[in-house]
Amino acid sequence: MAVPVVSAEHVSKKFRLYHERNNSIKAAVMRGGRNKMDEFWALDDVSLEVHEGSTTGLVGANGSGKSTMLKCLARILRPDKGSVSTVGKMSALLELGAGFHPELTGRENVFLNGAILGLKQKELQDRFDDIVDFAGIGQFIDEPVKNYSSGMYVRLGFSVAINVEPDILLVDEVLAVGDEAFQRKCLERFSDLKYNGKTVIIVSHSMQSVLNMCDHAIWFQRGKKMADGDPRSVVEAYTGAIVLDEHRPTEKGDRWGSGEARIERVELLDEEGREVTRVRSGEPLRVRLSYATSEPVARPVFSVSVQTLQGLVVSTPTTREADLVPEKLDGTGRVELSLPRLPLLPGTYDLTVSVTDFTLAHPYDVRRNVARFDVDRKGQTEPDGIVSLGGSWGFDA
Amino acid sequence: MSRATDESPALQAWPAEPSSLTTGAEGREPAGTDNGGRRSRRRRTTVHTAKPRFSFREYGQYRELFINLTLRELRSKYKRSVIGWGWSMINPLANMAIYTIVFSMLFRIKAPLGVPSVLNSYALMYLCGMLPWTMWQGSIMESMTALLGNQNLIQKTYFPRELIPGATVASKLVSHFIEMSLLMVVIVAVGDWRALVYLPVVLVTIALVVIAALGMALIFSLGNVFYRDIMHFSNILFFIWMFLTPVTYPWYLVAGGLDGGGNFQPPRLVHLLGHTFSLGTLFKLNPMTDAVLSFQSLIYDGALPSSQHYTAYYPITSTGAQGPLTHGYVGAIVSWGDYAYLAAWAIAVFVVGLWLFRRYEARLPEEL
Repeated sequence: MAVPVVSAEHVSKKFRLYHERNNSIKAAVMRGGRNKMDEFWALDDVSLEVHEGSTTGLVGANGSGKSTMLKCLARILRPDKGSVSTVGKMSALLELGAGFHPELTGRENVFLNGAILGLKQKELQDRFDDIVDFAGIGQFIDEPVKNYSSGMYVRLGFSVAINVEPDILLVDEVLAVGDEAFQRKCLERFSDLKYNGKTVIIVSHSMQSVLNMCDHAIWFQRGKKMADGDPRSVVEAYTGAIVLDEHRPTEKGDRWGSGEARIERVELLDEEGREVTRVRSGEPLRVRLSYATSEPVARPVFSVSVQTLQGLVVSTPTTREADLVPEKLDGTGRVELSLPRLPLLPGTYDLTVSVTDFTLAHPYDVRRNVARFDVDRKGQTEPDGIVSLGGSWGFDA
Repeated sequence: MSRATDESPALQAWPAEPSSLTTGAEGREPAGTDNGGRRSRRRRTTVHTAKPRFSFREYGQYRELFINLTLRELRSKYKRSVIGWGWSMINPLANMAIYTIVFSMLFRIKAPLGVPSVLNSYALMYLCGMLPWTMWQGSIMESMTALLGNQNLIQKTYFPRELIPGATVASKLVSHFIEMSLLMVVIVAVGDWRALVYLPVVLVTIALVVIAALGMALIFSLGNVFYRDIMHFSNILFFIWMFLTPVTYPWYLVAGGLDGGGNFQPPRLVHLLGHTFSLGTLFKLNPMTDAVLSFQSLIYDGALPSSQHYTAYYPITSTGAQGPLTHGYVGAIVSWGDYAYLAAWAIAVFVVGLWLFRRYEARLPEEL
């Protein structure tokens, strides 16, 4: 099984950045035939191999070269150095409905799009009903696609691309479109492909979908390959690097409030009171906030919000539901949130802390993403998700 | 493995012919179950490097797409118009009417006399040259628009990019065939059966014009992506070029010959750099002149290139005096030499165009 069906050898791709983009002959003559431009290497000597039947995720920040790599694999861009070789029929889903012509009907466009993806007329005729069914277009198939809703447009595009039955499918974040039901349908189709031994390469910003779908991940940064291997370790390396790379969020943009009370310091402490940035799932964690007020503040509420890197709020405990609201707060002091068993699953999380009035509507001080911490695995945990429900299983119902 | 495609013995024929089963969405069986395993899974390795590649086999694989793109051009052209395809007939006929009124009625230019067909109609002469010219100009101009207009196709999908100008030229060829067929019917109806006999030569001539048009379309559409001036410049270029080609005026005005009054006009001479040239020779340096004259000769005159036909005429001297009725041989307006020149030029333009396009097409997704 372990045959590389896609392999890139020392691929480099250069892009030209024009300072004054002007496609006119006059401009070219004035410059002496040369466009003023900078060059930059979107891909710099990258080699990779993808094996048959695997699902590979390409991850990295914007501009890291992962989409460029995908386009080189899809033969849309030609590498300036190196070579790409692929075995079998390849279909690229870089943009759904890329080949649609607005004036033509859905039916005409299905045939056109199918031909781009390499299907013969007869094969398309055989699959036409499947394609229309999957897209859920119904009688609109004979309407010009410009009258379609964006959802119909996208569904029809995906439906054609997936029904080509490629050996290798290249996907660039197109799953971010469509309603939830359709996304689910797409995911099912992907697992079908995988089940049938097809190779899928997917570019994604969603670490969760990479972890869920892929059995191989490659991390790109500034045109270079940084890590290649098991998705969990690659994703961890990548998310860890975001911390190193972007430092802690700065004071300025991420802090607001009227300032009568301020949170001066946020500490994450373990059992022994040592400051930590890594905790293990299920172990105790304390969050200590040091505050100072410039004038007496009535009935302040402190809150600590835990978020995933994707911005999903896991929970926001406040002093209000703990009935710890002083009538008046003045001077400096500390308030502490104690979690005896951290229920978070392994991953990276951000803390946003705030002090507000009792209604939570008026912020005195909010510090967004003020601290980031990693949760490590401790023993067996649920393979997927954010929190540990900590339930117990039993046969014999 | 330096070429675009390479086969190891086990890996052949790409795209793989999938099993032609239609068992619905869940019916994706493993490939190679069709026809007793005759179509077992065959896959080919594709290698993609910095070097431009050229592969006839690849064009074969994208035959379906080529047909589809051509159909798209044809279908979308007259979408949402009431008369639809009628426009492809109305336009040339309207042009014909306008030029006939201006040249034939206002300027009183006599139509040429077809030898041996004895056709004597400015309108028919005009159509013989104008239909190929329209195909030629339309192919090149619309290819430029097509390459720009298919930006999202080029940036998001892979296929040989030549197919876009190619499909535009092909769609023009389809319209041209329809127009030419109707012209043939009219010509035969008014009495010249020879055009039908020479149909194979007419088809070869159409092929030569199409090959040249494809080469030009490749060059112009590619160049226009880098310098958008080319499209504006082309409007002027083709306007001048058309008037340097005997489309709207009869050839006897340039190089002498029989006019519709039975007069044999003398050739025009030009004096250049101390030498005397026949204006016809200079005009024939323009390969489109050779092309248009070939069509006029084959369809309107009913004469093969280089053929001679015995007829009667009144010779006109260079001073304009009419001589006595004379009998003699009149040569066709083109020779096989002119024809060979056209062919050589068409092939050269095509080869250069394809080579340039192949060389720079990799930059299209970035430059568009």
